[in-house]
Formats: sequence, structure tokens, C-alpha cells
Amino acid sequence: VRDEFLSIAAHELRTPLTALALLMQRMQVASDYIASNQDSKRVQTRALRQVQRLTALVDSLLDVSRLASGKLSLDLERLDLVEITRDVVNRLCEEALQAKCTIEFDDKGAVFGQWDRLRVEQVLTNLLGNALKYGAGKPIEVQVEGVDKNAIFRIRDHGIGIEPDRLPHIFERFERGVTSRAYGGLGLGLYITRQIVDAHGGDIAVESVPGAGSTFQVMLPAENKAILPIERARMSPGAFA
Amino acid sequence: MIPMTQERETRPVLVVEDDVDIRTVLGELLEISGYPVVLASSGSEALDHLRTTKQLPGAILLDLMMPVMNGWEFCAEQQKHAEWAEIPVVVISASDRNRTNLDGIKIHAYLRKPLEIDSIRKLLGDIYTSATA
Repeated sequence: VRDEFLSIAAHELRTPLTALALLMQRMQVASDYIASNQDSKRVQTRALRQVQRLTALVDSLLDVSRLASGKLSLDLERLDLVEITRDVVNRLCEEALQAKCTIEFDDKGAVFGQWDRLRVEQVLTNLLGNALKYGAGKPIEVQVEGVDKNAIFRIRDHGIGIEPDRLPHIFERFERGVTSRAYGGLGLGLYITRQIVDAHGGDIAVESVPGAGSTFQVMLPAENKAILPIERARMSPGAFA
Repeated sequence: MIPMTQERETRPVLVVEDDVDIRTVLGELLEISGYPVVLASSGSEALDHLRTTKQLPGAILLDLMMPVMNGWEFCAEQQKHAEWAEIPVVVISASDRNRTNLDGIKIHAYLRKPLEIDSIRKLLGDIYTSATA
């Protein structure tokens, strides 16, 4: 498993590095030919996007390391989940454009709770990013609502879906819902997502039909009842082995 | 660095790559080097191009791991067609393992990412020169 993961990780890291290397070569040519400001800006925007992609990959690797050693901690504050979701949706606008997907956000008003802003953003970004990646260019629906003392959000795509035999394993480390010959990825996003949701004392579930799409539902308790992974690791030794 | 020259090639280079930034910038660098370029984001788009074009490409730069139709599937289809099978395929892949896992597909060369435009230009130069010799 380790060799397989290292091979996939090397592939994933080389992809943005390739784009960056070509963009640098393109900039070199541009400077020889005194390129227009617009041309330079376009190249710089692409380079920046690839740097962000590399950063996200390295962050994922660090998160897995933190989770394995029980060092993922939460910085809880009072937040509006609707506002965070809107921010994440806006941030993924360009990615949605490239994936030819529209994102329909069903906003039913503020939903407040005690959560870690960056980690909740990470959960939303992972799930929405997957919906764009596997969404086959079809609309994506995002809902956020408060039910009793919980916040619930659902992200639904109408894309390729997940085969039933892979479904029980998709939240496990290094597991993927699709073949690596077709889609890139480290196989860590949903694992990290579930760990963050668990750390908030919440729950994540998925329904999927191959060829028809997937719906991920996350429940986060509004009150601070978070059980930090380090405590949980102590309660159940080997949970992150 | 090999100087960029306007070589005035007429047959395009078909670039098959799912990553939009790699695809676009590679296309731009090849155009600057004098090659007409056709871009495809999957094997399926590349096959559509081969079916409909009046002028077949002089070379194909092919990524392997792609959604919709990957590079192996594309090659399997390409090699069934006698005229298409003559087009040299240069695989561009980020994986070391793919080099030994080509599943019988016939390729002209294998370039591992990250890519050096000079290496690509030299390889294409050899391909286009031998085609006209």
C-alpha cells in the first residue's frame, strides 16, 4: 500500500510541477518577445493556481501525518455555516466554469454553531471539489439548513457516481471511488473530511448511484461537543494506525 | 536552450492532456516554435478530431491518465485504424510506473513530466524530419 501511495503521490505532485515548469518556460519566451501585460497576467494566474494546487497536496499529506499522530486540533468559534458555504462556492467559481458545472446554492438563512472555520471550509472544499471533478459537467446542488440543534449540509452531483462495492470504503485512507487511470487524486480527501467531521462530533453519509451521481450529507452539532482526535485515539488505540 | 524558430510545419501536433494549464501552455509553446497545434482534453476528443479532420496530425503528444477516455484506450482505438496508426505517439506522463505498464500500446517515445520544451521540440523535429525524408 505504501509503494502504491508513494507512486500516486509522486504523480500528483508532478502534475502541478509540470504546469509550473511549462509556465516558467512560457514566461521566459514571453520576456524575449516583450509580451503584453494581459499575456503575462494570464500566465501568472495559471502559475498561481498550480502553486495553490501544490499547497493543497502538501497540506493533505501533512493532515494525514497529524491524524496518524493524533495532533489534529480544532480552533472553535461561533460561525455561520451559510456564510462559509457561500465563500467556498464563490472561491470555486472558476473551477466550476472549467468543469462546465453550475453550483446551485439553496440558502435558507443563517445557521450558527461552534466550529473550526478552516476545517469546515476544508470539508466543504473537498466535497464540492469532488462534485466538480466527478460531476460530468452537470449541475451541483448545495443545501445548508439547521435541524434541531444540528447544522446539515448536502452536496449533490449528477455525475459518474460510485460503484456499490467501493462505496463502503471511500472514507478510508488511500481509498478511491474511481480508477486511477482516469482520475488523479491522493485518495485522502474523503478520509480527511470524515476525520474533521468526526472531530466536530458530527457525521457524514453518502448515497450514490453509478451513472446518476452522488449525494454527501454532513451533520455538524451546533453546540461545542467536539471530541478531539487525540482523545479519541486514546479511547480506541490503533484507530489511526 | 534551443532557440525558438518559426519552422512553418503544416501538419499539426495533437496535444491530448486533461490538465487545462498544461494543455494550454504546451500548445502555446509549440505554436511559438512554429507548429500548428490541436488541443484535446481526453482520448475521446482526440478520436473525434482524427475522425473529422482533413489533415491528420504529424505527431500526437498523449497523456495517459485522463477522465472520459484515458491514453491506453485512445491508443487501442488509434492503432486499429491503419492511417492513424502511422502517426507517432509521444507519451507524456507523470508516472514512472506507466513506462513499464503500457499494456501493449505502440508508442514512439515516452517523456516523463515535468516536461522540457526543448526535449519536446527536438523529438518533434526528428519526427517531422524523418517523415519528410
